[in-house]
Amino acid sequence: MLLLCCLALFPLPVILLGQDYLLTLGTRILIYGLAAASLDLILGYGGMVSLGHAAFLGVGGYTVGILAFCGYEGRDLLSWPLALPGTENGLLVWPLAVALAMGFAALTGAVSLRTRGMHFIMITLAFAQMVYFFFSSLDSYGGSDGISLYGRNHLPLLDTGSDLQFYYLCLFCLGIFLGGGHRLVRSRFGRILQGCRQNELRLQVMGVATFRHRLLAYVLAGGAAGLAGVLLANQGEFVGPGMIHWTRSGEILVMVLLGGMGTLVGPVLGAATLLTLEEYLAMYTEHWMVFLGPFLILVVLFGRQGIYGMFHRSR
Amino acid sequence: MAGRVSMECSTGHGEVVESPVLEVTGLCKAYGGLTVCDRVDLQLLPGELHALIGPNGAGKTTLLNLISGLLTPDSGRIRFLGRDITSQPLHHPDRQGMARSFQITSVFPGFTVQENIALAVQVRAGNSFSFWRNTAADPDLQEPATEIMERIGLAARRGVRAADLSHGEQRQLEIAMALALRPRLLLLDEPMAGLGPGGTRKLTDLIETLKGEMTIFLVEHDMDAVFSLADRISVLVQGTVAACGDPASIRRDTRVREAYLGGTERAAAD
Repeated sequence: MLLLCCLALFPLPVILLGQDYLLTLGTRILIYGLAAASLDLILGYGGMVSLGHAAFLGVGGYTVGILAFCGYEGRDLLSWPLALPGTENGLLVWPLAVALAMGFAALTGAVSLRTRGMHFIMITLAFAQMVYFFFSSLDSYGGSDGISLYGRNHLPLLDTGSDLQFYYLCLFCLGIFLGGGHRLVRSRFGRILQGCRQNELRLQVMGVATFRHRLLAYVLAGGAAGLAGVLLANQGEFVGPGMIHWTRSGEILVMVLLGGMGTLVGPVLGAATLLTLEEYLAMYTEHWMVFLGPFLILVVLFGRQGIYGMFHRSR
Repeated sequence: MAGRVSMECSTGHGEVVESPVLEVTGLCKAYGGLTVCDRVDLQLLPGELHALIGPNGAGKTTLLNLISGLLTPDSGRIRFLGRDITSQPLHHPDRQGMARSFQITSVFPGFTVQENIALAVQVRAGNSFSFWRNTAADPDLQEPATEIMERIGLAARRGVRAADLSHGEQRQLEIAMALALRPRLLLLDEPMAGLGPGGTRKLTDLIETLKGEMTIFLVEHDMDAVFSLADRISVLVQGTVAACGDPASIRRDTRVREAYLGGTERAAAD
């Protein structure tokens, strides 16, 4: 709650000081925060260490990109069995993107959730790389260069072109997810999900069909990450295979670990820390990762629940 | 297996009227060339406490895993409450009403005592696809959980994480979670394992209070507990039921003493 208030007030000093680029950073933090929090739902609560979370970003982002691209070119996405023109209408594109991400999560989850531990990590990674190479080789849609958008999707009552309004739109999405997630992990479903992480066998012996619960959590997380992909595509007005690369999945994973897994809010702090450090350290040296590494090790060693844990204890 | 004796298992009262809660017939399980379960027949009658004893490696836990569905038998039948559950998956509705505890404590270490039991109550209630309501404020879950904690004697420890409980308390929690499922048949896999004499006595008293409420199948090494609790005892030796009967007849059975008690007079002494 405190975090959301801080984030809501963040644009004020930024605008007063005239540092508009900080608003862009803030928006990126919100979007990556959403992606990281969605990963935390399956990782921190469900015990599913996915190294392919960026695939959902990609599915969401490319839905926006491809539909917009078709819109500019004036050609149909599909001509058979029914003609589907491209569109920049957010009310159509966004739900479709989230639905596609969830569908992708359902398909890949149905396969990968049958594995455990290291195998699960590798299989999610493999699926994400498949998506990466699929979009990289999709030459009619930019191939490895990606697609540049001419503008953001249109939404009623909102001027999405305004960075400030877009910031609050992202904040709204993040707030909804954190609020819903907060309820979810305390609900009956959430209890089962956490039970799966701690002792899945016991749940199974008690008669719980744990697979269904884990799959549903995976699909929900995939949908939220898909939405993050939609927002990311709109924010940068660009989609490219880079947003699906496995290093991106790794970054999201680092945000979760850094911020504190199993806390939902922590990963948002993790995203803020990582992106801010990236922004400022990159000013001094292009080898900013050299400084980030030791910092990450310290946090993981000494803060059992990451940044969130330190913050929580000191209060 | 020429020397295998077919054994008629008496209830000690001379008549078998009620249909069994669990009926195992001709159950076999082998790992490669090693037969761990060899044509096991077993009947558990309503309300009885049936103990299973046998030397290490006799296949007791394997039999329990076959009954509870963790393993699938190579051949044979398992009927529970009149329904064939031999190859039904763990979450099949026909298995509802059967609960088990584990030899090696198997609880949810990150949850508190109350949360552990409330989760079991929730599983028993059936519907876990509920996404909004806070379980901690749900009287349908917390009231039965509180009741069970008081009965088991864990009420004072309700807020403690399972990982921070003593070994004895974890054993209690293990049974509490099985009870929360309100089973018709309770399978207990060496509940006394690793307990001191005081803990064993406490747990024996607890199981004594459960007798009659449900059918209990008790796998246990502690002979004092077994002989004081059991209505009937089956002896498993090398995967086969070597003897079955009331405690007095098992004590007298010479084959049992040879195979299992190793000729010691311990069982006969008390």
